Amino acid sequence: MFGFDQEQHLIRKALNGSASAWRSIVQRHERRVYNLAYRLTGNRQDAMDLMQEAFLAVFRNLPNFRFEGSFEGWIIRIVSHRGVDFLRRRRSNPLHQADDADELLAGDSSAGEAAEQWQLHRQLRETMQKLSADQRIVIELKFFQQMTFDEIATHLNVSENTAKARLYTALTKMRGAEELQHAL
Amino acid sequence: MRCEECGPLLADFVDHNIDPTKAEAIEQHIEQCAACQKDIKQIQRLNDMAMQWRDETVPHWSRADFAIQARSGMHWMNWLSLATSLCAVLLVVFKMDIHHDTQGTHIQFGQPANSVTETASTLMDRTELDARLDQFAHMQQIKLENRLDEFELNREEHDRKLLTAALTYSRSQHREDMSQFANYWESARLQDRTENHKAIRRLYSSQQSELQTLKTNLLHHHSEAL
Repeated sequence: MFGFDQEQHLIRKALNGSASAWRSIVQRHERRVYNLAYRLTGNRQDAMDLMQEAFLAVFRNLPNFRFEGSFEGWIIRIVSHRGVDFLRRRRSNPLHQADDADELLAGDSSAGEAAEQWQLHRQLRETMQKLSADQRIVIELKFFQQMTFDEIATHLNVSENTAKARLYTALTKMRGAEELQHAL
Repeated sequence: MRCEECGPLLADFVDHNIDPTKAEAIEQHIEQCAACQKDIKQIQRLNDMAMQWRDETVPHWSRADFAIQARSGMHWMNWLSLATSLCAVLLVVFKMDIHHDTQGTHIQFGQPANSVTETASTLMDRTELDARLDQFAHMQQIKLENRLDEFELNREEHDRKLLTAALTYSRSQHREDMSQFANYWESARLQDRTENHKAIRRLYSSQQSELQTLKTNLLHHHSEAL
């Protein structure tokens, strides 16, 4: 298991120009970042693009990391901001299409598990597509990153009440969409 | 409590992370509010989704490309540092002596310092020289590591392409073999079926003729009995 000291050592090596140290840092955090990006954007291609943008931002800002607090938390903060920007850019491009990912997931899982995951991904994508970028990131940080509202507020540079209000607005939108669906 | 007050607190309420007085007020409100009940169900649904989520594997990508490119932008400074350090080494090792007098600038090697001329080595502070040599060694080590990483990355990419090509070829060969086997099996099956039909027809014919013979004998026997 990676210790804090080992991570500090890698960060310092990366700051001195070591590409292998940087690669180790990325490998350690990419799974979490990629899946966050995938849940935010709803498709794998956008998730890759966002992940690469985010790690580029992390790399450029690495000299600003003060070794206070969790490095992973610092990365997630950068990814959150990049994610919101990314979604806003995508939304303003009318030619951008949402996903492609109506494919069963390959891997070690059984066909049943793969089908369940596919269903879960589809439901989450449908839920997130109703929401603005600010609302999506609150949903992601609250439920999938298991953060408290205090942590969410710190990550997004907003107040705790704003974070709670955004979640409530998201819930209202989801409720409205469900009622409309039932009415139809 | 109204929905606008209750709504933002629902997530904390579901997590049992709320003041007991507020929790009681929320409970009383949601007993009569269908909208807030739906919001609570939605929160629970999102919690369930999060628990059931299984992380996807990250697709293959080049993790350190921009890191190597960004650092190689320092090239000209590395060379400058290298040149400065080499000059310092030459000055010390060959005890180079540079002095200027009325007859011009003179460079001498191996001359000991004297009270009149200043050698170049005394101009350089020893500790500063050691520090620069250490820095040079460190930079060289990093450059070497980066070069090795680049080589390793290129080799990995090459191996991956080779493996993909081999797998594609193997799959196409396998597909061809399966197709040939299927054709062979089909033709063998048809042949067996034809043989079976012939055998059944022969059996049927022989049984028909036996029955006919038996019938003829019975009739003959019956007419004789009469």
